[in-house]
Amino acid sequence: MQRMADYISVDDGLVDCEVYSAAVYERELESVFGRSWLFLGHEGQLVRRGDYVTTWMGETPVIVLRSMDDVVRAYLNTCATRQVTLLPYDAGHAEVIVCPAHRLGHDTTGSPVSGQAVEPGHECLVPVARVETYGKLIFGCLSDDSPTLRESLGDATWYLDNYLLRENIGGLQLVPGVQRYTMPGNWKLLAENFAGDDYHVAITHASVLAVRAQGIEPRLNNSPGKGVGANLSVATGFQTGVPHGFLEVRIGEEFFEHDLMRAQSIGPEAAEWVRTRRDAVDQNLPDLAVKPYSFHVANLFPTLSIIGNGTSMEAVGLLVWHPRGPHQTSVTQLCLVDAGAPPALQRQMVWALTHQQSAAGVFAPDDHENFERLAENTRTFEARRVPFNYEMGLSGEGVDVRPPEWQDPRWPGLVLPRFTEMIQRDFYRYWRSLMDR
Amino acid sequence: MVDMELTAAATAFLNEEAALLDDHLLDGWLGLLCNDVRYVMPSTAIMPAEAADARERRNALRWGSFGDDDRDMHFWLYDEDYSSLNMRVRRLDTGMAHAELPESMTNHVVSNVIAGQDPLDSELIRVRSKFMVHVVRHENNENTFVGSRWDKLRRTDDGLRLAWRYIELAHPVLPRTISIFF
Repeated sequence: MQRMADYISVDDGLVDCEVYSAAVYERELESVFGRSWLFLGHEGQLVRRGDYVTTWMGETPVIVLRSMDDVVRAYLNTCATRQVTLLPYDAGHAEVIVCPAHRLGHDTTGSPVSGQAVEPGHECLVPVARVETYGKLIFGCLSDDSPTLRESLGDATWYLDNYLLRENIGGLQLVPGVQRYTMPGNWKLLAENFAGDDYHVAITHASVLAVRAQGIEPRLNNSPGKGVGANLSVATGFQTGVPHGFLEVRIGEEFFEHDLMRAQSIGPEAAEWVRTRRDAVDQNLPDLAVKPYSFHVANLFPTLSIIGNGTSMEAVGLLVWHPRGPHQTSVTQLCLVDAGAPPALQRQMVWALTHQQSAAGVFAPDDHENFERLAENTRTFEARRVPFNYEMGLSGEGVDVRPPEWQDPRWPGLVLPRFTEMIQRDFYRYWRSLMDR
Repeated sequence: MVDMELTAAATAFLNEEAALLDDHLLDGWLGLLCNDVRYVMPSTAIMPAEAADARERRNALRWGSFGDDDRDMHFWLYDEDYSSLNMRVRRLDTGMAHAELPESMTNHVVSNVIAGQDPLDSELIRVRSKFMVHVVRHENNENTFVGSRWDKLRRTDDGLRLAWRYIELAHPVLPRTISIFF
């Protein structure tokens, strides 16, 4: 196969449709999904010892569990002898995992407990090479020799610690109910849409902005509107590491004031929580003269996207893009709320995520339409002659837009204009390096 | 609990409703809803068989025995009242809702209707039904949603009106995102 460098010209912002082809897909399952840290779930899904969930790493089914010795572990959800699926449920409780074909059983630490004796090293249950958690987010990696999770997250941890996980005020709590749905389109298009495409929002989702402006549903009223504060994008790992993108990084008192006003309509406890949440950031970062209030959307390379995080009025959606062939993606979406928030505010948070960025929300189906309209078209011969264009902001490549008074080495990341395709260019740069490795 | 007369009345109501949805007459559809309607759809999971008490609780949920209890917090697919359903219809009315441009061709096929008097409220009848909704978008993007509904219809001076709907889709992985009603 040709090198991906022949298909992706980062300097020109051009990406050949070939990178969405079946041939490339087969290789990226190994080169990208076999080497990257992939999101497996949230510790809130594994409360008791023996609790498990099943998910995928790329197309590979896996089991994620809290073992009886209280360690978060992951195994392939297939037996090593015949590739039979071991656990057929989305979630459950198991103290022994028994293969339904030949009844080889293993305990939750991976030791054989029943069935025909096998030679050491021929166990039926195959562990995922590495499993690590970061703030109750569970990640796995199928390779032994790629960078650690911390190295892969890089400067993204600053945004996660201060603006997502908020462990100093109780952290996030998982809301029961996992949404799973099918989206058309190559997984990369969905991931980089969350990583770097704030430009589509006002166009693709114009109907939502219009209905918000009508004011007929106050629970949907997420942001203080146009011309307020600063709304920026941030790239971490830019040109040096694993690329993560953060969108709608909000700076300005107006965002807090708007949340506070809305919380007051729910009740004094809700308003108090909005203050607590803001104060927690100030306590973490006491010496920064100017600091973000929040970020709303993000993608952690390759396939964990985050949404709903920009306001205290909406729950956090964690979306995982599981590839299902070159032109289809299966989405797993979790919903999390601030564990310390009062119940009335938690309910507003869940309501807002359900009604906006979820399978039957008012945003996701419009994105679905875009991807449905483009997925098949990338297959045509003519499409191969017209590369995807990611040249927005090319002249400002690598330039941080913070004014001098905002500059501070303790605020990491490359701060970018809201509308740029720099993050997407960096996404494809890094993807290319994995493929051509 | 099956009542033939109520089953006939409920079937007529559900068929009229399906026709309005398929004809995209959504204001007419809103007119079939009570002002205090609740319209909910949980996400579906493949789970081990439930214990008897969990099964009983799920059945109670299907008929609407939950409110703002914290135990019932769930990442719903639909968690609607009249105001939010109206918002969804107004969004489609903007002419900018791509997901329904052009409008999806839908066929709601309703079957297996079982109706009876609500044991707790003389104004309500309880109706179970099955549905298949065939959705076509563009040339050849076809999907079928299959599921069950637990409805409560209220007797009013204007006829039956929907007061409660609980929808269970038979899709652990939804075939597509949802921009239609069930």
